[in-house]
Amino acid sequence: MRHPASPQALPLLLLANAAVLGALPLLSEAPNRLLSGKGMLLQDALARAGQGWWAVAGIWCTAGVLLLLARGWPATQRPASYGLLVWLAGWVWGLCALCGTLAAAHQVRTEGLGRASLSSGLWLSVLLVWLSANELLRDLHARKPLTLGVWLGVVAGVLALLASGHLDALSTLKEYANRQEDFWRALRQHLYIIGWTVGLTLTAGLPMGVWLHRQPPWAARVFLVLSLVQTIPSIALFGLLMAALAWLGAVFPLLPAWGIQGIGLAPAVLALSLYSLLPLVRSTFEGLASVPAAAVESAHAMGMSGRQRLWQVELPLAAPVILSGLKVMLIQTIGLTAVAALIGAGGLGALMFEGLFSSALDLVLLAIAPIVVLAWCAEALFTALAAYSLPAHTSHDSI
Amino acid sequence: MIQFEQVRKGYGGRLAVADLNLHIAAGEFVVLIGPSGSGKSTTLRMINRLVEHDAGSIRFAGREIRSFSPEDLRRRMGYAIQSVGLFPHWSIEKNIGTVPRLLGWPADHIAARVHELLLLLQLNPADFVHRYPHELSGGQQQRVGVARALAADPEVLLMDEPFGALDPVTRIALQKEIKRIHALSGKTIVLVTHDIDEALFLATRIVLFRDGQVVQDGSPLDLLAHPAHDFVRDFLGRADLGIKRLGLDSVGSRFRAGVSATGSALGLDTNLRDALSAFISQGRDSLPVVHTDGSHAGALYFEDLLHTGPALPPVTT
Repeated sequence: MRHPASPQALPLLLLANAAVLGALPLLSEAPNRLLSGKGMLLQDALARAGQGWWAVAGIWCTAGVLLLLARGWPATQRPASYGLLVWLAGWVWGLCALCGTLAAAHQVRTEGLGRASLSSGLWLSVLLVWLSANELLRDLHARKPLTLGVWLGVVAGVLALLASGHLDALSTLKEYANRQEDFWRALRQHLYIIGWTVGLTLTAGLPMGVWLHRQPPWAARVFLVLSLVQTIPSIALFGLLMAALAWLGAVFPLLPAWGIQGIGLAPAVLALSLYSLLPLVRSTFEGLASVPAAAVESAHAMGMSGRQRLWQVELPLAAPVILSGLKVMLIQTIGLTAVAALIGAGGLGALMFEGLFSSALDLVLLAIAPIVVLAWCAEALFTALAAYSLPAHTSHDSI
Repeated sequence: MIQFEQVRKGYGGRLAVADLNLHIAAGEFVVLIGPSGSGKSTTLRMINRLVEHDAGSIRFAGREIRSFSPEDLRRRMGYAIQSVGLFPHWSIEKNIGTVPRLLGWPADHIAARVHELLLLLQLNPADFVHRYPHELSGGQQQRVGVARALAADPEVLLMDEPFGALDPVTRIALQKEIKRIHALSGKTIVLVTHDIDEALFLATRIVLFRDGQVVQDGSPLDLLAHPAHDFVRDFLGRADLGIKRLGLDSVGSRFRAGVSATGSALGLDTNLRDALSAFISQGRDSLPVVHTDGSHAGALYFEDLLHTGPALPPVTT
């Protein structure tokens, strides 16, 4: 799977990064929340921030060039590569800190009315740093734990900056300061919806996958239905379920009393679970089908009961495939839950739509950021799970 | 131990096994042999109910097998197959301990049994208990497969072409192993194969199948000396029937004690087939015979190969 790293890739990526910072604005400053901002390039930002920043930038660039040169030399290649990883992390932290400093100065100048937001140059630069770090990690043949450690380190640094209050003057964080309570409530609701959806899908999907594996004639039909569900646009499905549940609520008055009604949590969880079923049921089914036939025959012949066979042999051997289905399902649910806000289920989606409808892009960003972080966390969690569930019985090379 | 009475099994209108009567006594090593689709595997798999018979009765230890639950029945019978079927996510120790664990043996008892079986199959316990199946060679995997089949000290051992996928050297080593285990434990073994040399080497009794029916049932010598049928003769390999006969007997039963001869010596337990080869390759008509400790025992003459035992029928080719 690993492509050999090309020796020019890293210097080229770093050059591109320098070009991006030279040509695209790092920060955008607006006199208030409604007017659009004016971009500021890195060199202007450094000039504005003062002598100290210029010195730091100079030292950092020199260090980078030296590390790159050292990396070209076999004896110092590995230490230099590790050094470059730290150097890249410093790059990200430095840019963030610089933006925080400038935003704070902008606040003072505009007496608290102005808005300074991160701009395209910064985002693109971070993206290029990410690509560069990947290149380095691949070159180091890094295993999963190191890769995960590097990303956690970078994120921890940014979080520390956030916690220190140094970035508080940035527009998204000002938005957060204003909407703190709404934000945390929305995040809790979001997690609540995801929790219910995952729970419901697991309790329905796993048994369904097992059952289909044992009754193969049904598999084709059930997968047809589940695939059809996947093709319905999410908003349409929410709408359909709203109508269906409202009708049910009218017929059985007890249901609304239990919280099952046309708008709110019930249709959202139901629709999200319906979407989640296909990836989970399919991966369970395919995972079980991938269990070696000889192992299943042995399990029979050793005198295992149906349940023993399932729990001791089939499910453990199907686990890697089932886990990958679970990952797809979880990441899909984290994203789709945002849409559930449209039928009154709340969550981060509610905040996002409010931002969209009032053209408050900072609010949109504030709502989207945790969704992205959640998806990343899910990805990292399952990568770790997969790494721990496999190596006992498979060699690393065969994965 | 195992009795088939008028047993029949069909798959969608085609009879796989027709009116089978077969009595397997305790301690026998029965080899079921025949071409593909002759019903030998189906017969084996009916014994532990991996395949359910349609008609007739199969009795195990005096009871109709349907009066056992399939799980109980299978836990009393060891089972080894060509593809081995070790559980890839379990260590060798856990694999071998499968049936004892299902039977609820205490853990230290299982560990001791695993240790004992690894020694029996000539695998060093310290090296193997914590390894996983994918780290083993094919021959080692099949040794573990056999150990797993023997784990709960089953009354019967069922084997479906257990050595079919191994290279010739490993196969012969394992055949010797299983023959030794049979001699040592006196277990009833039922083995399916389509390799006639394997059958002649292992069996105390060979059952030859064709089209779901038993064509001949007897000792290896019976089959070679009195093939009941042209089919049997063909199956045994018409041209080297005589050579195969020689493979069943050893120098010990033919040599002349106290006589001396020159040439490189034969052991007392060398089979006559290898002795014939030695005569031809050394270009001699007599060879010295030695005891296992290397001391002189006597000599074997070329013409001794022709003497004694029932006469072979004329070979018509």
